[in-house]
Amino acid sequence: MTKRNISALDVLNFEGKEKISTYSKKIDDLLDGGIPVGYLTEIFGNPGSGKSNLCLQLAIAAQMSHSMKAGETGGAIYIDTEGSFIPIRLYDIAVAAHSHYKMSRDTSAQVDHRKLLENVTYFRCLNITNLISCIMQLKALFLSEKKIKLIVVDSLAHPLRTVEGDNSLRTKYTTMVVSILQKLATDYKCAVIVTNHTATKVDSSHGEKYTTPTLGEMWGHLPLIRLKLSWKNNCRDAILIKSPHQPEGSVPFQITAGGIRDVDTVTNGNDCPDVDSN
Amino acid sequence: MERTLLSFDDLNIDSSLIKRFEHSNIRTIYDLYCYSPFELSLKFHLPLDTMNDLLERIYVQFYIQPTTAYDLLIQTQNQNIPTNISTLDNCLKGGLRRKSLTELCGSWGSGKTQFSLYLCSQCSLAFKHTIYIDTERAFSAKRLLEIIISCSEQNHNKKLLNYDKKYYEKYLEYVRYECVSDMTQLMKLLNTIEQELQEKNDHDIILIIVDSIAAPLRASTPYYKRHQLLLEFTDLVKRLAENLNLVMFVTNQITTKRRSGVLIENDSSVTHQAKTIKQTSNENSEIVFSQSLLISDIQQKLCEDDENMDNNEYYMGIALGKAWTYSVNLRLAISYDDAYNREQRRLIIGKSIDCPGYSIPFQITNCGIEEGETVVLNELKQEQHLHQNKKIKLLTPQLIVADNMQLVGKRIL
Repeated sequence: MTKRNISALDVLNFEGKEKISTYSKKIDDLLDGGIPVGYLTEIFGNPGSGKSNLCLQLAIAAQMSHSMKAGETGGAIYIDTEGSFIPIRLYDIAVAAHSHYKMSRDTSAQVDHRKLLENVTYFRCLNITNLISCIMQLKALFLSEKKIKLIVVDSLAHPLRTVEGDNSLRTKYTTMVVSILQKLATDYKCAVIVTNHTATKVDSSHGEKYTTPTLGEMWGHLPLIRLKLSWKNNCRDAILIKSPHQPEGSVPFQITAGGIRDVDTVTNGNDCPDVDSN
Repeated sequence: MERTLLSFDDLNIDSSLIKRFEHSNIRTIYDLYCYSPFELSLKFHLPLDTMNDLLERIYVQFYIQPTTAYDLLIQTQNQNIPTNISTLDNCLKGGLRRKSLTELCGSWGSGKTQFSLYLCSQCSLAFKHTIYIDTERAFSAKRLLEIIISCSEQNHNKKLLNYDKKYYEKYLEYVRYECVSDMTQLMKLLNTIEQELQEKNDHDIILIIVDSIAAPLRASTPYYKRHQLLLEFTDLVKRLAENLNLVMFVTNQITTKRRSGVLIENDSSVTHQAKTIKQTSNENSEIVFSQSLLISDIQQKLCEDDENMDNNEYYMGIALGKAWTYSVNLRLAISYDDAYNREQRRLIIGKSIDCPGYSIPFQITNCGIEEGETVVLNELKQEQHLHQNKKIKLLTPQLIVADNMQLVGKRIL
């Protein structure tokens, strides 16, 4: 029995091929295809910058074959710690996602929007204890027959901000959450997304204010990819802060009634669901 | 507090083990979670497998019941609370959402209390109960009654002659009124309400208004305690909203913020140095380029500040900080139009998962809040109206930075 060592060529063939598209080609190109499956990705930004919207978009994208590059589709788990998950918003994104690709290729099967929503499992966690309990029970979901391709934690910063005491307790909880999530990501081949907040600090030497992601320095090492959502020149902006093989860069994007899109996407009446209820 | 609910009392664990836990200062599940199974097995001299099984048995009792997004959609479908401001209801697809924290900010006199009273009136007219927590002593039952009567008249489309005021006063009974003056009282009251409503199987409160949260926080608490108190408040109201399935509506105030990011005034030596360079540079501009980057930056900033000194140096921003902005699910703000039209009030949706950036003009009338003009949100609908020869304005959203909204206040003539 000869055991062959794994070469870099083998890694190239198997490495990070599976990606989940964000429905914005520019952001996908920034990330070399999309959010990588099997790894931890962080999305952070100021309030209202679009983190929850991007998470909702990806929860739908993981289920559509057009947006799952080189991989199989599957359901999503959405862990909500802030109460920002609105099911009607997910529904609008699901409807728009279906018609987004209608123009490029014809769809043979009728997409069932109800099924798209049924494949998103939702947990509401009110504090850090809830969150850890929730993450511990996720393994059982993977052992059932349904395939799950995405876990979203929106957000990890919110329950950790009330943890009292010095940073060591916070670090312990963070490590615990991340170790379980990373194990799930590698064992069951799913993407894990964690959203984070920002805080304003003052640089003592220049006296200038700057924003920095919360959760600390130790956290910065844990995700494979760190993506910042912001604004630039009166337009939304996605900035890649940390990536193993892509250069840093920033691209513009927009959030329409149908979800995350590129800025030059033409939105006609077919693309966006009816906002007016009259 | 939430922590005590997570103690080991009701669980099926060996009491000797509980004693050993307590000996090591592990009193609640919260404390247990921060240790890994390996650490615990070392600590209590138990084999790792036994520890894992034991932990599994404990943790399984804290598991959360998941639901699917579809089930959640069905549950929440018709539960939104309509504000009867039609454009706002259209934007929010039905009205204010339950289980969420909604904030209304605006400068003094902009209409926050009026909006809160208006919401109470709409709920009462629909025979639904609300709780109004007043921290600024701004509540006016007389005004609430006036709104209720005017709205009823409008709904019935005729002026009711010889109406009996008593008939309308019964609507006031749907609003429970509480008055508190500082954060301690407020937290105590909210905890009491949580207990009361949890004990009732079928409580009928759909909305709790806190008018305002900024007043007790700013007035009665020392600066260093505010952050912690605000976090406690946020967790409590979110828990209330989620567990009791109601809307938490909180009003917030305005604070003055400084536009430039460079804190020049803290370091007077640097300012002095920069100022002297500025003076000499006019005589000999070569000096400017030979200085270090830091000083030339400050010099540039001083030039800008001299120009901007009176006009744009300070602006009105929303109080309570960034962490609070992350916590609210929906941020509404009242601002007057720009300097040219200070009479027109606008309701701006500052932070929202699906409709940020819409700004709805409105007036405060007898009936409470009334929209300025009819608008549509969708180009298709605008075309439909055009076919009927009605020119309707299309409301387009602006790109709004939720934690840096600049609001315009009332002008004093």
